[in-house]
Amino acid sequence: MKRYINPYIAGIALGFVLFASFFLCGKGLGGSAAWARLSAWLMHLIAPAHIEHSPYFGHYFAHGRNPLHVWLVFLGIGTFLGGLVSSFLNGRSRIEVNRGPAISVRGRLIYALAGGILVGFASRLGLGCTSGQGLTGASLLSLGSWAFLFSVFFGGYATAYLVRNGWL
Amino acid sequence: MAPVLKLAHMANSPADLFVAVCLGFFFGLVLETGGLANCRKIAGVFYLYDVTVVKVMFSAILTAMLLLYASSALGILDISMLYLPDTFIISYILAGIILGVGMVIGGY
Repeated sequence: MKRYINPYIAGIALGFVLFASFFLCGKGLGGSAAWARLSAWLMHLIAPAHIEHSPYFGHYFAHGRNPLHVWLVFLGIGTFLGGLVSSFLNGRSRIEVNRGPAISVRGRLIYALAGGILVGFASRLGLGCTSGQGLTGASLLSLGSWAFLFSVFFGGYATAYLVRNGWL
Repeated sequence: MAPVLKLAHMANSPADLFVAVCLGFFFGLVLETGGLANCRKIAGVFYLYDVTVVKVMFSAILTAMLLLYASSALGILDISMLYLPDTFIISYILAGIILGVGMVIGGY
């Protein structure tokens, strides 16, 4: 298993990818929209009428559109593949439940589910996650994105002590 | 002139979507190479045992910001054509706090 590269080099490379996205397509990178659309698509398999009339998800399906046929979903497919290739090439690819030394696998999975629900909800409320708001919006010096970004740190630091058994 | 595909009216064309997969590929590659796919590194930020994520994020923001500024100043990028989400400050602050709480619990 190889070590990760220097974080500043990784950051500069990430900045170039982000800039390339703006330069070529006129928009930045995002991570959460693909998940929202994938979950809407999955829910549509089970309860089509419900999801088509949902005030939030309905427009994904307007005029018979496929909710997955959008730029951000294709970006998400690429992100999955890029991460997969990198982890294989660096010998970091294996099945595991990554966690702190003190928590059980079951406990970690419960934390992951709870955290995931909060992050999923927040990313829709905030029109993006740490990629769409944090990276993309912040690099455009958007006031809202910077407010979002500092709030993420605030929320994280305020809660860290309570869930330290998960990581320390 | 840029944004290239938007100016060519090719937004959401097959070419645009292909570019999205390629951009995503490098996005995922760089994130994983830098350690941002590892939840223990993300959690490390909140306990200050590993601040890799902060280093990667802020150098990325700074790099992209400078490149955007330079290309706009040189007249090769029309910055007004870039997508910018509307500013809903209260929602964003609330969303940020909830996301931060979720992130330290869930790890991503």
